[in-house]
Amino acid sequence: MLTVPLSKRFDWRPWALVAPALIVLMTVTAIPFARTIWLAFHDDPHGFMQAQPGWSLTNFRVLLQDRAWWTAVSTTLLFAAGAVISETCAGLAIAMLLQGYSLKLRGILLAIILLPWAVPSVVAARLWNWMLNDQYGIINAMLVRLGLLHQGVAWITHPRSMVAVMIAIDFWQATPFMALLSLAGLQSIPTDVFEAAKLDGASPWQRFISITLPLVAPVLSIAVLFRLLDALRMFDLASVLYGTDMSGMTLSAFVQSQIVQFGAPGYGAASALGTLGIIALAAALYGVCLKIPGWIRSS
Amino acid sequence: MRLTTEMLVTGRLVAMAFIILHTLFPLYWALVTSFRHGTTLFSTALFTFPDLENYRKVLGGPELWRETFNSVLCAGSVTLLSLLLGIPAAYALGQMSFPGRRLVLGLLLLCSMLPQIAILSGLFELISAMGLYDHVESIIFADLFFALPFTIWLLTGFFRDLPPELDDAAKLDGCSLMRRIFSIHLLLVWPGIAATGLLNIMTCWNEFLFALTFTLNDSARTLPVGIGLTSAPGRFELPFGTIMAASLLATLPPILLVLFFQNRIASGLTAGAVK
Repeated sequence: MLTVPLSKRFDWRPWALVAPALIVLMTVTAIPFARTIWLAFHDDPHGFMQAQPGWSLTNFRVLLQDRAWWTAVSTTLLFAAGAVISETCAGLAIAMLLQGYSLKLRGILLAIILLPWAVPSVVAARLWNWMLNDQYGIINAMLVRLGLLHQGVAWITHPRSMVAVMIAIDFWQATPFMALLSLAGLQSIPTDVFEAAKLDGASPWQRFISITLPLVAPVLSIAVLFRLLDALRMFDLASVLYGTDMSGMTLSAFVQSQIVQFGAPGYGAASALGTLGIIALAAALYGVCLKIPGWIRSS
Repeated sequence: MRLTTEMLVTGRLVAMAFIILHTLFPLYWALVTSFRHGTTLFSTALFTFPDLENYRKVLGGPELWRETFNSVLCAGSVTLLSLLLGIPAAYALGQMSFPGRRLVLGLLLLCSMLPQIAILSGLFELISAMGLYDHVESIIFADLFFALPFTIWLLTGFFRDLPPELDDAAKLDGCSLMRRIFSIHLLLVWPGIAATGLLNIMTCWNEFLFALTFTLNDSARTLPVGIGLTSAPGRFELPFGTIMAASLLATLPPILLVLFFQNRIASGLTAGAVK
């Protein structure tokens, strides 16, 4: 493509450049992944019982009936949907706001807005945990002071609000990322398109729906995919906020606790493969959702 | 008409102010909390006078220093290793054409989509077998899992953006492959390399899952693990003051990186999605 080969001889040079990286990548990815698959199809030793040798589907059979697993599935999906949708909308809105400022001011504002993204999520989890503390938390105190609450709510420990708390923290951390990418998408739109639409009398809403959105869509849809994959593997927030509390566990936290806390690498591996399946399904569903506007238009 | 324009401007200003408040207030509250200890922790007053007691306590013990050392060692080695391995590979993938190139790129993309837990069981065994469990080296080894594909993928995009004529001209002048990489391309791609390196440093600095899974004792802990596992020293003591002090200290390096290198980091992040 880029260089015309002088001879048909096998060119070893690109492979020599790629090889060291590929070998290291094989060791840290292919070998552990293959071993994970092997483990998933072999039984774990239980207590004083030796593990049954040979291949088996026991782990998957147990997994399908594991209440905690299905709770983790719904927690993760709920979290991912809530986080990605809210962050995308807010990110796009912030990017459009930022576009109204001069280049210099935009740079300063962007640097400030990016700060939560730089904060380690462990720190974010502990910080929000403290702010949401039922007795001494600033958020409850403010809500009471404003007359919105009678007394503090135990946000962190109430099963109903556990996912909402994770979404709120992730929203604080990841919206900057979506704003940044939306801004990149917005900046790729030539401004004369808007001028022309304005002259033709298109309302701001019309301009947003029929110019901004379709032209930002290519960049935004990839950003959303990244965010979705990231949200589906969320571990840090769930682990720091809820530890091994089953009602707040995400899939990643479930897998990690099986391996570390319960010493069941095989069951952990099986649930990891199950998680991969869920992630693949969600990504496929997202791909289908992206195609729908095209189908509607062509039909 | 004039009224609506004015209202629009005010609305935008209010919205921006709200966004900045939502962004900065938690960090401000962390700072306020880090100045409080004992019963003052229960205060919900929005202002406080700086009291460095918590910082003195945190910086006085060996834990934070050890964790910082481990975090620096980890982020530094992973970034250096992945750049060292990634730059030649990205050059080949971005500037040369060879059969199998698309296959390698596809594999890299698959690798970067794989969640950490997908390999956790196997990696746990591998790391134990190599005798790295509970050593910082285990985290460095494990972090390459996401750092290396990310590095190669991002740098390949930067290398591909260089005009191929450059390489061809240098080749005609009899410039060897190694010299072409080092004296021409690296000089031109260095903003991309800087962006990739910065993003790697930040991801490794914040990484929690591997660091938590592969360490047991304090000696190999990184900052996020230390902060994540800190609990109350006594039954009737709230540790939030010291936790917030340690948290802010641990957050300072990535925040400084963002403030100083905002443009580079932003370009790296967008390149990752746009290319």
